[in-house]
Amino acid sequence: MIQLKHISKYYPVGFGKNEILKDIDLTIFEGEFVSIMGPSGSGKSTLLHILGLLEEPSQGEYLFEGEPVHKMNEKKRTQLHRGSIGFVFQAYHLIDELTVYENIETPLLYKNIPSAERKSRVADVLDRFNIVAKKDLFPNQLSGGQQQLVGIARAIVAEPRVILADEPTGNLHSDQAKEIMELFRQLNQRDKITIIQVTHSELNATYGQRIIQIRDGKIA
Amino acid sequence: MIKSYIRIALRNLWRNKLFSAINIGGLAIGMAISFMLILYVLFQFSFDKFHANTDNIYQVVTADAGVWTTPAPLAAALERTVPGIKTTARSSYFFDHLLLAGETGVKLKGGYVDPQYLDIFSFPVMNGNQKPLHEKNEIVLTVSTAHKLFRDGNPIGQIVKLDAEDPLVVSAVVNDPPANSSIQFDFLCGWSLYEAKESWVKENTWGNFGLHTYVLLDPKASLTAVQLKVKHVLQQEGGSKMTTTLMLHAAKDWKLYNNIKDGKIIGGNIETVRLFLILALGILLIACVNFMNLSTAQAERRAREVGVRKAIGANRRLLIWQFFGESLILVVLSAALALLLLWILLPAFNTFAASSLQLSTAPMIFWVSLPCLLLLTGLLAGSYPALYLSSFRPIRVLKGGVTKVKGNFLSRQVLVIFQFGLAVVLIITTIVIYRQLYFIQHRPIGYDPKGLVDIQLEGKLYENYGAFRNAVIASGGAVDGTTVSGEITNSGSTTWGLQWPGMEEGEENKSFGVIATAANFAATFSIPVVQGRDFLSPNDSLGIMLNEAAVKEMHLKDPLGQVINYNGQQRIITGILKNFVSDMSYKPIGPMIFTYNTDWRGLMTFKLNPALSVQSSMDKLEKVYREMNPDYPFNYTFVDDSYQKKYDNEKFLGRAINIFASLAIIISCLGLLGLSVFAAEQRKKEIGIRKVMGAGIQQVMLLLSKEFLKPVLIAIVIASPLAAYIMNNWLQHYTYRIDIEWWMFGIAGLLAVLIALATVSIQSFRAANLNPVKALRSE
Repeated sequence: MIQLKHISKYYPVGFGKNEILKDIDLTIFEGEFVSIMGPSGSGKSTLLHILGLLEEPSQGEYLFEGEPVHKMNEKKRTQLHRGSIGFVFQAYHLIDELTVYENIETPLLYKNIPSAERKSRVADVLDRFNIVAKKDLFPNQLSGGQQQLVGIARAIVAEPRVILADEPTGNLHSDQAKEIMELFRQLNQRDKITIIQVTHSELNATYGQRIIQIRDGKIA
Repeated sequence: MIKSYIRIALRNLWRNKLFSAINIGGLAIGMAISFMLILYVLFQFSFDKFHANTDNIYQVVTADAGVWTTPAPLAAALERTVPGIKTTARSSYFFDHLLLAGETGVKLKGGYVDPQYLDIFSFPVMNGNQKPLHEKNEIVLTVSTAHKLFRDGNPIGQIVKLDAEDPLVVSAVVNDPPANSSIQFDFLCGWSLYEAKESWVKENTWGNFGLHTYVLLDPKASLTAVQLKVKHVLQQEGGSKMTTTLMLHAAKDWKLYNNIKDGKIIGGNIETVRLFLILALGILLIACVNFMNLSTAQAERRAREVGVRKAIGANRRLLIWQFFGESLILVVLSAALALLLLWILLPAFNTFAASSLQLSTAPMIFWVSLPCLLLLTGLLAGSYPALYLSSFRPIRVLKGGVTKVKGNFLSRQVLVIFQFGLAVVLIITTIVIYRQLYFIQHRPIGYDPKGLVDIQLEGKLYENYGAFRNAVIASGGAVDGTTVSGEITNSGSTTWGLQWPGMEEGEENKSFGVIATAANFAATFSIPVVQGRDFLSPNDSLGIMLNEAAVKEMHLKDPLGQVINYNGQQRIITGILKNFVSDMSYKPIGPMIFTYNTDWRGLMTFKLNPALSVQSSMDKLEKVYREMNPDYPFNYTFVDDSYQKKYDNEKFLGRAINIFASLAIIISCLGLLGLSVFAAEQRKKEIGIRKVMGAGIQQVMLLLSKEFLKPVLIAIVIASPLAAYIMNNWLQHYTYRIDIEWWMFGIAGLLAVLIALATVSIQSFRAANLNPVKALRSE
């Protein structure tokens, strides 16, 4: 499903450059649950951002279902981004000014989905995550675990093929973390969503079928 | 989508109440002022455009200076000799006259016109004879005059006495001239009556320039060709001595392009209108700058939202729309508030600008241009925040990297510099205009206008002036009195064709100001007599006095006793008066002559008894007046008031600039307040740490104020030379003017700094007094 060929990422520093990713080759198959691990600064977040189209590689090829992403124009890229990729962040990153319901609805708005369908899809997700009662609350009225639940709900509401999660449990205590990881496993197994997570935790990594270790910008 | 945007925009507004209030308030004030000035400007532009024939109506004026007075036979001569002129009409000057209808007597403005007058101008007849003013005993009233005289009764056929003597029949009622008409009257009488009353009109002579001439051109006629013909018509028809050239002044230019020199329009009221437009835009711009400033200051708060939205699928275009939309919502809210403000402030503005603007009667174009202005403001104010906010890289902001963007801070500084620069220019302008105004109002003018009162010479007093003067002085209300042809404060009449001993070739065209007067002229006005003596009695009826400038102009060595030929009369110079100001005090004093002439007099001037209060003197005068001229109301003007009135234009300008300067400063301060609130909030942690380290309140305040002092100081440096340049140009209008001095810049600068510091310190003080533990705990 996802193929990275000779991907490098570097920033110019003075006369030289600061290489973050060096010649990464990586293939991820449909339906996989992959954990990316590595020490701080090893480049794992950058890798995730490149996968999520939030950053562009300096070199190399990125194929998404066989299509070359690095050659796509802005419009197609946006379409791919909106239609196929969902994001979950460590700091949840919900929009403070919007209610739970509205936060979940936002990706559908960007996909131009008609109002009636939006309503039913948001309602489904709320129902599934057991947060119907919280739908009119604002993010600052929720606990961290609940916020992350909303974050995941927002990520899956547009029915993406891949969820990219950047340390989704990093700000949560272990009980909440377990709950979230169970949810990811469920999404992977029941809904067949490909999941790629970045994590520091050995325990969380075991939820995935495959662990990719990154050290100094290279796959170890 | 749009609903979601509106929702988030409103929630944002509500969450940051202070910012929103500052933002909306500042923009609303700016908009209210711009709306007001746009209304005013539209009103000015609408002047004299309501006539059906507007494009073809012209007034004949002298080409050299655009003087509106023309001789009586000119109209007929124009019709006869200039092809392309369809019709002409003459009118007298319109003055206040007493109209009596039965017991009701009112003083109203009006005069005499040719019957064609109502064909040229669109003052439609509402009632009565459709073609009035052909008969000698006719009078035409406006609707409001008819109401004043006859209440709700039918005025047609009723008798009205003009000046309490000529009984006239009301033949028609016309619509009141609208407020945007240069020509204003309450009643009109026929030309034949004018000829019957005034011998010089009946004589139809070319030498007497005392009335207006209007022409209606054929729409097909070439204006250039007509102008060429009109130019020399005086000389061709009136005789070779009439060297004055004429031109046609279009009705659409009467109000705004009314300054004519040497056959060309060189400006006029349009200059004030332009100034107002520039000021309106300037204030709106300051308000927009505020808006941009405050919106970008909030950027850091919004940055995360931008990052998240981009991560879940928004592209830049959508985000630009979102932020534009938010700006537009703010602009619309501000506009609503602005309209409310406008509605509240309009009466005050009308008193101030002596106008009668109303929202309900605002022209269509105002309501059409309103949304355009809103959109423009939204674009202007919203563009920078929208482009700036939408440009954030999602990864950077989600990692918290945007907060220290140097460029953002710098551009905000530039905006503050711009605002305060404008404010400083306005402060300096205000100071200079006020100083100049004070200067011209308090220059010595050669006589003392205080304690002098002008009373119309009318009714029985015209015959009994001598007895009235004696009675007034006997009553103790006044100590002296004389008659004059017109107000001394108004240079009024000019004459030429004088002959004097030693006159050189070509000097017969030299013009002199002329005041016709009677005995005790110099004494009444306390004008020093340099040589000879004042007029003393009717024995001086062939005397003439000159001012010093006239002696110089005639280069007379030993003027007393010399004979001057004036209008064919041989007059002996009896006295030389010290120069005094009769025009504007900032202009050089021109040569003037004073003739003893009891046929040409319009006013009595009395010098009130300085031993009594003005009120008790006036009571005594009124008592004598009521006895000797019972038909007329006792109307008077203080010479001091008339003198002050001459500077209305300058005063209006001064007050307008003053108000604009204050507003510009208020709006700028609102912006600065917002920015300082924001800065204090952003540096809360830093302040907390510094306080823990032992920094005192003063040091923290200095730290916070310094940041804002720099742009204000730069603004002063940039604005001062600019203001100096603008004011130097303005002062060129005045022969007698003040110098621009350094202290003016000093005061303006100091004022700007103090205002800025005061604004900022409100917030710095609060921040500096905050408990540091609280500030640090929030991390």
